[in-house]
Amino acid sequence: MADILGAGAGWLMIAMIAGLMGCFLVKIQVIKKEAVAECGRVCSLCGMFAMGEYLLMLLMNTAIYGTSFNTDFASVLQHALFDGIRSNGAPVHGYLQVSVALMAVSGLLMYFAVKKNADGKAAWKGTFLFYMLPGMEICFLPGICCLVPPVVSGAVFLLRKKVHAEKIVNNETVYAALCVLFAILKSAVLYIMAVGV
Amino acid sequence: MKKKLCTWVLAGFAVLLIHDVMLLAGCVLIHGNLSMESLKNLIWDRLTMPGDAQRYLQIAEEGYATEGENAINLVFYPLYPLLIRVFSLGIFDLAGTGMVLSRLFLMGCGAALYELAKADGDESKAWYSVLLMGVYPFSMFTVGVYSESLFLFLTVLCMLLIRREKMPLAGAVGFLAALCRVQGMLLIFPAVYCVVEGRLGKEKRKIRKSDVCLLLIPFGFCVYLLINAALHGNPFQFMIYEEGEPWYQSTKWIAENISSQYHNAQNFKGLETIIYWPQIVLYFGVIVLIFLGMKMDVRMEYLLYAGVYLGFTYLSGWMISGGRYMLCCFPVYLIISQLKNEKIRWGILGASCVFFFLYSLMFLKGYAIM
Repeated sequence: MADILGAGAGWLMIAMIAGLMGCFLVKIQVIKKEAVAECGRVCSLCGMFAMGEYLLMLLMNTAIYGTSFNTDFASVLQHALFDGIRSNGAPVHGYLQVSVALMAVSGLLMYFAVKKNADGKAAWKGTFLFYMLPGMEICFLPGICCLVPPVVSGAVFLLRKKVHAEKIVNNETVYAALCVLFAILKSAVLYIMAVGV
Repeated sequence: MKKKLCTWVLAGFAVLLIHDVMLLAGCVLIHGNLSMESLKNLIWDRLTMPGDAQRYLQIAEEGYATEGENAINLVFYPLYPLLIRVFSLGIFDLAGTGMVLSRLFLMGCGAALYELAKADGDESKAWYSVLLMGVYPFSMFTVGVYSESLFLFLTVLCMLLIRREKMPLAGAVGFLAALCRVQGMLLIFPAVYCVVEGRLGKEKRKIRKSDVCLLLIPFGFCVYLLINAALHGNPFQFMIYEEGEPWYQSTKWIAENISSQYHNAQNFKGLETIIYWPQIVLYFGVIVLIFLGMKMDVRMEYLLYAGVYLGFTYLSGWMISGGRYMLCCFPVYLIISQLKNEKIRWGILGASCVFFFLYSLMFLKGYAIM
């Protein structure tokens, strides 16, 4: 719980600084207020989604191992990939807030990549699908892994004119099927990361 | 002008009355009677003795010591004890002078906050802001020998003067604020913003010579550094004292500090409801208010000051007075007064009243609220 509170506090401070800078740019008429508001909405929802995933892993760990919800997540992590955090005693919240910030930026890039060729609703659907990708949780791991989501979404954003990501979300049947499939696979990945194999 | 003066005096007295009523209620509840003796003992014991109060009085009496156990008093900024010394005129009791000054500055703060809030909204919102400040849960320090009311008065006044584009006066008041508490120099952020926004925003106002006066603000802190250097040969001597006993201060990123606060809330039973959880709740509460302020288009200079004040305060690695520090984040009162939902506004005021009563009573009873 301390990890979540700490990471949430750190991430909110980063978001606040970004928000104030955005408001300043609006006041000196560099960008429009609607653009800042839209970016703020996307980043906050993406950040909350990321924190929600982490909370889910914590709940799974608590449920399976019967550990207290107040126990530091890092002290009960079973998966070998988290050995780096446990062995050097580094605070998990430090990685977590960076991960959440990177996930928020990834969501923002994906949102505007889809919105280039479609509307806001399609952009939200595309961003949601991106987050549902199994393995996005790799962003929570320390090291270079956390750069994978922003690099992927960055690439989609840069190639948005050629990639046409909105085609996936336009087909309702395919979209629904992918959502269900990703949800099942994602749950498995979250379970493995939280509980270990 | 006469009407304005009357309103200011009324606003000032309103804030003071809240605390005086609380003192009287506290006297009855703690001592079981309302005698002059009981009231005097209560005020003396709780408003002049605990925590920082004694240190301010030591500085007022002896100045900064260069050696011995009182040398660590250097961590306290000089303006408030200097005013105590000056206004005691060498004849009045220092503690009594300190309390009178705090009460006068509290009244001044009520008037200044009223005027600042009225500039953006109607009279009812201005009164709301003043009342909310009066019943802030940790506002009991504004009537004791503490620098809170002086600092709050100077910062609100500085913002009001910036708002009215009286830059030389704003610079002078900001200078004094920075000489009162370290957070005073943060006023440079909204000050510079106002000048830049005036130049690059809709108005396209030219930068005037008088705008340069705002650069006086951080010089208050420079004077404090000079005092450090003059006494100890090291302009940052105060940081060495802050790291040691009894403060053990350090500067760490907010995430680490909030995590520590949570751990401390688990480990220090009895202190979690009066120190640690309030600090955690205040952090998240204020940051949510800042985001709401952005959405409601609250004045940018208020949001900027609130943001830098919050961030600066919560970089403190061993914070036990967060509730008291956040009392002086005055944009919070202005943002809440501008919330559109009346039920939420009155709900916040009501909750603040309840917690003000509880924490004031606990403080007067000797609980570790600091």
